[in-house]
Amino acid sequence: MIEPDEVRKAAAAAIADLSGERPLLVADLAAEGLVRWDLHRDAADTPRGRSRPVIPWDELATDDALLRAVRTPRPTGLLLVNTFPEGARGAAALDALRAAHPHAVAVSSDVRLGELLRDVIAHTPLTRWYDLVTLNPTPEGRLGLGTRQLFPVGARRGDSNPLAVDVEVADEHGTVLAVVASGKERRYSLVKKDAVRLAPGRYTLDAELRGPGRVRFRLPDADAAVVPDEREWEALVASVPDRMPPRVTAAHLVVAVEQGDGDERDADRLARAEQVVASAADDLRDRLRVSVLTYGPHAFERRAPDEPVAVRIWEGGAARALEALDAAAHSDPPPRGYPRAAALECALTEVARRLGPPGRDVRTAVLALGARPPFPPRVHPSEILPCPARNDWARALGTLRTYPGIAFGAIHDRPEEADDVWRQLGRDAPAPLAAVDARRLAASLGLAPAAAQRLPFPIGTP
Amino acid sequence: MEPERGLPPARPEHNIAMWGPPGSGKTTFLAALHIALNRRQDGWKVVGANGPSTDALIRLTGSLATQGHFPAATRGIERYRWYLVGAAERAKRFALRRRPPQDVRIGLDLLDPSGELFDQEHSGYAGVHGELVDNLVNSRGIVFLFDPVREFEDGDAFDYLHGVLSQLANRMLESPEFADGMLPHHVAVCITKFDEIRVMETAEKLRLVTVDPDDPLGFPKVEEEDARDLFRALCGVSATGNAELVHNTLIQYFRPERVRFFVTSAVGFYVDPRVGRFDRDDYQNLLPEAESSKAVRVRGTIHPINVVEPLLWLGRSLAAAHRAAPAARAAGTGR
Repeated sequence: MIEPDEVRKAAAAAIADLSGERPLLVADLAAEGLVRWDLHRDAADTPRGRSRPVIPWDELATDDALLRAVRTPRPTGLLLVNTFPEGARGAAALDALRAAHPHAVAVSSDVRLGELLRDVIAHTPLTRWYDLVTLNPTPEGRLGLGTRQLFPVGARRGDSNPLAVDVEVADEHGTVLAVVASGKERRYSLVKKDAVRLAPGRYTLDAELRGPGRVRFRLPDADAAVVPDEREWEALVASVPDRMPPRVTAAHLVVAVEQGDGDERDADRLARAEQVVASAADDLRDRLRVSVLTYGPHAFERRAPDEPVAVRIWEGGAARALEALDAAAHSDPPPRGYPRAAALECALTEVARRLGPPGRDVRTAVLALGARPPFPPRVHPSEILPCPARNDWARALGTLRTYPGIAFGAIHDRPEEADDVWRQLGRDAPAPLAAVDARRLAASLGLAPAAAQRLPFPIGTP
Repeated sequence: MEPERGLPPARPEHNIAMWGPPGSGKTTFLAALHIALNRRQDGWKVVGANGPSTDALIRLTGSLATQGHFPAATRGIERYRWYLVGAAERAKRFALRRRPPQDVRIGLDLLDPSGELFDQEHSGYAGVHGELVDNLVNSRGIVFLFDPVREFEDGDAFDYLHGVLSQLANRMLESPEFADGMLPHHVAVCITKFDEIRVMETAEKLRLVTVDPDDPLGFPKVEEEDARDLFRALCGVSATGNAELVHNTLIQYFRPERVRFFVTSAVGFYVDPRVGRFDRDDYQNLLPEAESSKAVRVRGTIHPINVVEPLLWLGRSLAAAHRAAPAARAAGTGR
């Protein structure tokens, strides 16, 4: 009997000789019978193996039956291992097989062959380059698939390689961390792919080689689980947009919600606003700032206080904004006031007044929810009374339009009846109150890329 | 109508009839009259000639001035009689005989049938017409209210005017005052709702709007000599196109010199109390009650425009006509 290390060396040598053209058959002559292991290298040159059901010794009583059990349709390397040296049947079988295959390596050792083979494979050095699949934007903004090197040929289990990656918004499954292998001919084969849900931004990606075909990813600066990705590779590649979508690293969402139409309508609008904020926060997390204004009609009654706009929160986090919306839903309804208009012009003026200088790569989006027209700045053919403050919605909107990269959205009770200001507000993202796809609306506002603009792979960062 | 108490009846030749299609704002006009006279402080006042009319005056004026509510639509037929009472004129300096001073008194009749009655062609309508025509026969002054907004939307002023005038002419056929084929009445055509955008803008487009520099509120106004042009322009946008006939009909039945046009508003323009003057950018004085309702109420303080003036013109005209009548009669006798 030889030591397990010798078996390991023999197995390592045999596996090293594996190639696409020459698989390896390992015959495990165990206590209960013969267990056949078929090993091969897959397209990525990763050694793969599987065992077949044990053939009891009773069925291997003749030499012919024994030889048939290890017969292969094509030239194959053969490793004979008697893992039950004390047994007479195993030793006899080993002798018979050795005689039939004089070039086969034959060893005897009391080892658990399955574990040993897995361990040997895991410690086999890479025979291909391992790369991470990325998206490489050209200077013109076009997108193509690219790679970042993870491990070179010869890399072994335990080797690691931290690298920085930029992540954009992906779909609900997350960003795909795909490893491909390539040889001298630079033809890539997929080794494995995982997915991780990340907010857009730059991350350190720790890649650790756990063996051929096995790369473990960690993101030390993100609290996110890396899970196997089950999607079709072709579909993933097909989902890559042609061009780089506008970069969204942070956003300021301003929500203006009309109130004063009665509990149910008011509550519906607040609920829709919550959905959009939550959806945007899903993608942007703490990179999303939210401002919430509620507004109602002006009061023209004598001595009635006229305070139609309430700034519930300005540039707060999404969680606080959701709390503010919830609080608005549970606060006393605003006075009914003037029935045919709401102080949208005052809300827009307040937003234009409060917006500070735009941040770099910060998307600003204004979303209005309501239905009533604004008050005109002066006597108007609509016969709606003028805004007491003489605020002009067209002027406020014009000011906001000069804001770099600003997007406008409108959730209108009845879009078919929307007047000019509501049509202008719904320029980028119009939606009816009754049916809002919050995710799509957020994407249309540039708070999350639309489905066609999502980037399934990290951006190749030099 | 109840027997009149307190005030002796006005002479028929000093009676003025309020006339206008249902909903044209006759009762609102009279409620505003009380407020307008109060603002003028020149001795003129409006007094109820009987209990119900006095009660109505109190109710209508209080509702409009205090609560900002317009009179509710008339149900059935309402009959009111008021007097416009002015200060006594001083006796002539060299009068040979001193006579006790006497108030100037103009009777003001309002017969206000509901719109439904006017829609019934042969039942109540005929009865209402009969009473109305009686009123007109017994008056020599008529306040005809023309609501241009209603005319723009419904366009029924001509239908109303034509029917009543035909009956009036028929009733007065035997009267010597109808000898020249013209009715003897003085008619103040009051174009209402000057405070509303469509009326105001029409006047502005026609360059008919002026401002009296002495008016502390700086209200725009249309001079009496221009009011007829505004009337014609407003008739031109009638819903039925028949409003143009209204002007011609008036000219056909009444002596041109006895028809005068006034551009009026019962509530006037809105005046921001912080500014205290008319603001061209914000002058609407009505507030809608609900989103889909036509009901409105008054937004600010009421400043009636040209509500007193038509009545005073009628009063003066009737008095002048009355003074001239004996001379005419005498001339006729001596012939």
